[in-house]
Amino acid sequence: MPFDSIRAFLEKAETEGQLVRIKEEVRLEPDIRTIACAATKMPGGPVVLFEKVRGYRDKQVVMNVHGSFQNHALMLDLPKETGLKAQFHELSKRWDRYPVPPVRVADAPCKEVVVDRDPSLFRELPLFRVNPMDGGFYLSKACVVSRDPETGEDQNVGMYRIQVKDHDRLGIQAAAQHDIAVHFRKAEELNIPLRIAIALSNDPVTTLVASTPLTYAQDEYSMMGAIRGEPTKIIASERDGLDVPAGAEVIIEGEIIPRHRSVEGPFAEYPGYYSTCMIQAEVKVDCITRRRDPIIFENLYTGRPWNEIDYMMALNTSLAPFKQMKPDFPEIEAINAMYCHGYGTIISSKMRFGGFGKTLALRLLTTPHGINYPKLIIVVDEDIDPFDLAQVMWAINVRFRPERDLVIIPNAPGSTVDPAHLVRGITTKVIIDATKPAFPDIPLADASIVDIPPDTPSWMEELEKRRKNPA
Amino acid sequence: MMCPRCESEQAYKIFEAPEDPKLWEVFRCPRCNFSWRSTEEESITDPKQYSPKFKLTEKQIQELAPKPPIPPLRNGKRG
Repeated sequence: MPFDSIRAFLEKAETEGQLVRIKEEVRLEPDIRTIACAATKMPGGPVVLFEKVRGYRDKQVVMNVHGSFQNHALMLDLPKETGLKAQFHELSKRWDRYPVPPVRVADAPCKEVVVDRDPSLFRELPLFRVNPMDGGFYLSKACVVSRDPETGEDQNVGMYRIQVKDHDRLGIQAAAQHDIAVHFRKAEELNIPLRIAIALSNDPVTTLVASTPLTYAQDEYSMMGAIRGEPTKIIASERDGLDVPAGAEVIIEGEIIPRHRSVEGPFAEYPGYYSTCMIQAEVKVDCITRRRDPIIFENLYTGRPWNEIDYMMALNTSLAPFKQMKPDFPEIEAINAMYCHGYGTIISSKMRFGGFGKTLALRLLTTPHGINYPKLIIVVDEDIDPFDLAQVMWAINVRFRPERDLVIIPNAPGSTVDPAHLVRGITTKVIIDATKPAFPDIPLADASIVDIPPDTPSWMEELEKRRKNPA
Repeated sequence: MMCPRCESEQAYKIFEAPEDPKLWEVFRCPRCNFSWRSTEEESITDPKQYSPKFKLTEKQIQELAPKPPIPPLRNGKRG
């Protein structure tokens, strides 16, 4: 059964042994970050529910919802031990059902309490500092809904880091390459506020899709329906009628102030480094609607990889360029863009002809996500599982010829939070073509690959059975 | 109240624990937008112990780059 709220998912995780309840009182700092970090560093890390946080009687916190591939499989309603490549292809199959449009509901728990006078984010949410040198308390897993301010169309649901600066004041990172920046730019050109709604504590597929680099025209809610296997329930937000996920615990409404910037950050970002301080846009909050207490506040631990954000942005980040490239290049087998949100990306494909690996790498760099993020692109043949780094390393070691297969593209667009850059936003891209020479390239005459015996996979299964149940 | 990060004297209390005000208080700095809870480590709450690498001066604030850049107004619009 697909999950229509975070509560429904927590039940499933508990049944499957993937939920740990912390019943004793915890401090907002440093206990939550420490325990969340521990959960995500464990093999098969569980979801952690903090039932009592010091200072709030009626608030709970949940962390690590996406924080292992076991949790990721449960989110997709698959057996929790489902392997990575299998999860990738399952997600790929469901992606092709797009669009499954959402259904509108008239009532939802996220409207039980309406705070439309003097809203206070500190009163409504058990906010905490995620990492010690963050500039404040962050909403690190919030889904932000906005529309084109001129047409009222092209609704977007995206995940952007949000700093809570005061009771009703937020800082928001609307980086130029993100869809919300298109809406915000128009609003600023017209000098009008951009109305937004922020949904907190959503079912895990909603969050997954909000953090997926879809194309500008694609509708996130219709993709959530496709991935989930049934339409997503949405409800009109209280003030502006923006479509928000009905299953959310909390909806915050407000407006991004035009032509105004103020200090924001730093924040520990996905590369495992703190971003610098910048002056970024601000939101004036004017309405909060939510469930009755106790609400469950979901946040994201980010820090030195691997951690929850790496699991959350693993297969969705891989699938987006795969789907965007596949129509032109049906030979592509799979793409792994799991490392630092795709800074390192591995493409596995059949080779149409010699040099084709470079063609694929260059095409990746023209996909929406590929423009800025990838800087190390490795291309391997279809016999290499790009999710198995031992195989990828083997391909590089035995198939990569640096004098022919290394491409360097200097002064190319890069991620603004990459700590390796001399100039933020400018990078050097490196392509490593680790594919075998294909015609008309010259194959190595004496290179013969050793095949594994054909019945090896079935014997692996058999040995596993006998290990579990010795005769 | 001095901001641990930018050392502005304008920082002030904005919130206290709803369950019991004695448990903790939250402060904010209107100049650099830093906020902190009274119960955090002294390396966060004490201006003398706050990491020099993360300190922020008025001059640095003035030099920060806007993200995203502010676009020109369309014809006929007033800033």
